[in-house]
Amino acid sequence: MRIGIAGVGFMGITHSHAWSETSAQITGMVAASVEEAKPLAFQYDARVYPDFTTMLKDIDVVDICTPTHLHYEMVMEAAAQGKDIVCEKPLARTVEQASEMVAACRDASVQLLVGHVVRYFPEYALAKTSVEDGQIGRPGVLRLSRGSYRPKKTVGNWFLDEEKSGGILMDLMIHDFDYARWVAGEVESVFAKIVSTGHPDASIDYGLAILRHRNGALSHIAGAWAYPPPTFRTHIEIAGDAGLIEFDSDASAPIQNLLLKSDRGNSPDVALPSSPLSESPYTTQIKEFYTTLQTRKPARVSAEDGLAAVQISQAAIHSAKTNKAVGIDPLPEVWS
Amino acid sequence: MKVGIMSFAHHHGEAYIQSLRAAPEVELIGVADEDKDRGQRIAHQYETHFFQNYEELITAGLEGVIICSENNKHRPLVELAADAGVSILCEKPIATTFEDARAIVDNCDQAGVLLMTAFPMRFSTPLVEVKNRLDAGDFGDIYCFNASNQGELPNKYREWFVEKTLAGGGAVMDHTVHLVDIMRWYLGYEVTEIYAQTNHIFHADEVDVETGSL
Repeated sequence: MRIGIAGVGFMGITHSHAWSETSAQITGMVAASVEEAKPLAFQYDARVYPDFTTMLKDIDVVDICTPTHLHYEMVMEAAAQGKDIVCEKPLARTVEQASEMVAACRDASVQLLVGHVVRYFPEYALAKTSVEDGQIGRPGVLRLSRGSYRPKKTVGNWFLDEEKSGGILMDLMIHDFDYARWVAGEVESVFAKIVSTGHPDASIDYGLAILRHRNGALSHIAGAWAYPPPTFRTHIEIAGDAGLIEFDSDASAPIQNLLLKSDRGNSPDVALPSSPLSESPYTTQIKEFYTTLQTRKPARVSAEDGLAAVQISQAAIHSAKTNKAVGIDPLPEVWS
Repeated sequence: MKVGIMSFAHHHGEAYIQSLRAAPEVELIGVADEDKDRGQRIAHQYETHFFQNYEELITAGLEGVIICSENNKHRPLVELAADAGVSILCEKPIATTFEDARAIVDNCDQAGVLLMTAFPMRFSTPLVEVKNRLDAGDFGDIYCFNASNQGELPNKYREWFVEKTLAGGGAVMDHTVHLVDIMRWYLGYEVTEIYAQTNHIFHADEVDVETGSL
């Protein structure tokens, strides 16, 4: 299986490492410029392509690790060329784009696997399994939080450009929107607030969202781009009518980094959570995607899940702007 | 200072007896309770005088009274005490409707008596430390406040805690009231709008009030 990687930022690097743990071959890489792609391509003995279209001709699967706003065109082109696709989350910047992408991949009979990697973190996967097994009864209230620092790319920091990334509600909190929906079911409405609405010049951002699920369960989602680097902490609390599941990443982290240097130089541009005692969840995810691509056995996250997560995030963005709860209409792609 | 307690509907009433006894300048002169059996039993247990009704207690030379009735019965007891010129510590929430709460505050203002709501979180050492650091500006401007208050279903202490009329509601009335108070106290400004969701999945077969809320 020949893999082509589009985008060589922190996620391109992370996925390249994960693919190297499978039997797939990293055949090609493409980035905004040839120069940018060279170091990573050299590391994995891959060819650097001048553009996405040229790379597509030589590969079986494309792994799209580019900024969010570029996903749409790349997925549409890859689907048109009959290539299977791995796409980083968020699947797209808007619901309209994501719907089109899902439809295009269906029509072309190509696979579209979305990198909702939280489903592959062992603690999150175990909590989901425990709920499914009925260990805590019927889920009633979920509280999920995810906190790190604001992405700090030196040039072209697309994370802070809402048009491109969707901001904290789309880029960071989509992880927990997806997880809440995975655990507690379809979402009926969302209400969200973010600090940057009222304080556009603040050096941090923080979001809070309340989801009401169709079965009556409630989810409270908190997301922070507010901690000092290199912090990345997450918390799970799932309360059911017969029990409670809790996980706190701080409590289980074998290594605490308390660094005294400036905010550059000793932390990556974008923080990734880690599970130091087990296989990287990014590797677990890519390994499962590899199996799915080979066998068509469904992965634990579908293209429709990626679309539904974008829908919740987009509704949350709308809510934060309008200061009103936003209803989530059932999507035909998800409910059919 | 002479102090009495009205009603033991709230189980904190017994804890207040012990707290009052621990304060050297305070004298607990007695208690009254519309549930005479309960009141007499507790008066006997703690060796204090049981007054036959609230009027007797309130005219016995009190300077202060602690009100531990059901939430929806605070107002008549507050009015009785305020009219007698007795200052009041009232269990939280002070009322089950905004109308009653407003009347309670106005009544005490007009009578010139002190009215205090039982918000013990304001006396918690770690919470006070955070308040001091906020006031000192250690955290800069506060952009966001995320808090939760979770606990067991309280009906094993008193059945009325989960009865809508007497308690005013469930988890929101009993727990959110603490968080909202801390937020006002910490931030120093009033709430302008709220959004809330509740459900009734926990203990669905046992109680009719909301048991989950965000």
